[in-house]
Amino acid sequence: MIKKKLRECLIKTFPKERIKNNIDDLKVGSFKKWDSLAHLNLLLLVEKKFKIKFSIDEMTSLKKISQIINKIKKK
Amino acid sequence: MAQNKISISSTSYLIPNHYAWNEKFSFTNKLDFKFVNNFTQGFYNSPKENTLFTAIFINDLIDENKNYKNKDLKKINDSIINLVKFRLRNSSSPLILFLINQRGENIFDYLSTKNMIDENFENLYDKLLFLSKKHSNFILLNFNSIFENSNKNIFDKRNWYLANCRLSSYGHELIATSLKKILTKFITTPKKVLVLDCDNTLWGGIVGEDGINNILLGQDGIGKAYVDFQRKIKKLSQQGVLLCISSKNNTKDVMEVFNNHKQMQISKNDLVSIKVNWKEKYLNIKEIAKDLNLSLDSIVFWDDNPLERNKVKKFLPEVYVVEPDQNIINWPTQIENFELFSKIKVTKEDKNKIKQYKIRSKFIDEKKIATDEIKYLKSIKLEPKVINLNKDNIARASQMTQKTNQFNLRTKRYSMNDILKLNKKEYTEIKLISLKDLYGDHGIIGLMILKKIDNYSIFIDTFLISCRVFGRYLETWMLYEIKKICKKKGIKKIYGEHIVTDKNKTICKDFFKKHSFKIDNGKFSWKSPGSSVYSLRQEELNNKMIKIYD
Repeated sequence: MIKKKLRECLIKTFPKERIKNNIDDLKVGSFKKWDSLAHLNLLLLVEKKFKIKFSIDEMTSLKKISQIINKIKKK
Repeated sequence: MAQNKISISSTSYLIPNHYAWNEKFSFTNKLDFKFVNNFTQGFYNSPKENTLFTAIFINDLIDENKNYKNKDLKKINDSIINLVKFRLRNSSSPLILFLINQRGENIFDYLSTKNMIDENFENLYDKLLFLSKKHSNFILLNFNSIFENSNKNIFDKRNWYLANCRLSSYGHELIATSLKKILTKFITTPKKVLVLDCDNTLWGGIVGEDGINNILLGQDGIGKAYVDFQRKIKKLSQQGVLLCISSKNNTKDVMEVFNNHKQMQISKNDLVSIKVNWKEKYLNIKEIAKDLNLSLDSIVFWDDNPLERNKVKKFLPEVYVVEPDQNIINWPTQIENFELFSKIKVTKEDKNKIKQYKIRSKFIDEKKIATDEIKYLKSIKLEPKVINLNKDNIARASQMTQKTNQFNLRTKRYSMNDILKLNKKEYTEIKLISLKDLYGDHGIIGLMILKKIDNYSIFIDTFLISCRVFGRYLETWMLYEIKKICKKKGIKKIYGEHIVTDKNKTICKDFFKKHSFKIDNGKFSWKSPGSSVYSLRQEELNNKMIKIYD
């Protein structure tokens, strides 16, 4: 469930990329357009869709999808 | 269209490509947001065809920890005013400004004295308000009035420390939605006129059939919803929306409701145009536009009947046809939330449109409209059927003679027994008519009773159609079915009579004439006093609208 929803967030944030079903290895820089601004927007969308809030530290340290998945599980 | 390009600048960071900007909005044209990095550059360098949206956080202009002299505050405000004036001088595109005050949480800052930031906010707002009154393309919004009632926070400290952005995601959502709502008014022509149907729109039921005492309009149930709906409409008229009626009805019936029904919220005086007749509604709406000197795209049309709505959509594509909610109890909210009515001043463009429309309307070809109508009605796949009388439908046959008043040539009332007796007679034919089309299965909606006068002639004793299915030229089809029956039985002549009543006098007026019948002044034993009798040789039956049913 978490991976599916997270993948939807990726699709919404990067509408022009083909997002594979397996998102485990994706991280900042995986696509050309995945810069820090896009990453910020991704995290804000994740917050909305999962109804969670990241701390300022988490916002700066979470760079990989695998990390985000773990964080969501804990919240 | 350039109006879909919006430059965005703000005093502190608004996050570009935040999901809030990408969410679709009602009028579906994609909006192109261009974020300008530097606040003042937004005013100086945004292309003049673009709409400029700017968010000014008063907290960005003033440092809470400093002490300002009055002249310093004046300087700050004047710099903003000058930016706005510069933009207004160089561009006639919309300039939308949200003024935002992020108030602190220390109540002692607000106790008994006006906080400096609050005071400057009011000061700046007043000056900008003065400018907005002079320029119809300058939209000023005190954004605090929007969010102070919401229970979610639009500000977010984390985002401030992370990205110099004062707003939370919710704050972005609120700003984006408010902006889109405002843009809707600029991209689509503001609507000035509301054209309303009557039956099942302003009240429940059909006044011509049910009578003023049985329509639903009052303090309970569905009647209450209609009252509330009328109240919201009345409010709109008080805000300047022009109200009109286009109703397929007898004037007398409709005016009786307006004059005498105690629960009517809308009065005759609230209406600027009353078109109650049996003409097609799109013709009435065209007339309304001409009468009021307004273009068709400033008109909104509300009608419960999908056939009527689709006809207007088809023939007058510029008119905004509302899709009313399936449930009448949602109508008051639906019309209250309808955002396209103009609250913004009439612009030069509107006046030009009026001129263009006047020129166009001179060349509308009435004949072409008839051909279009035939095409349109063919497309809704009308399937009428003739059904013989049987024990299952005899009740319906009798009911129709008792209840149908408008399209009823002779208004003869028959009980079930009467019908049984008639059916037994050799010289009588009783036929019911059912109808299916794209709008649904309407069931049994017509009745014909034919009586043989002699070996070569028949008389139309009863000919009626339920008002539910008006507008489809079903009467023409029914007459051609009579012609078929005549051919089969060797009948040469058809006689018909129109016994004029208040209820049928308009809608049945030229019925026989339109189908090539001629007035027959002969003496007939069955003729009713004061009525008009018509006759026709069956092979002469003619009406071009039968093409719909080919």
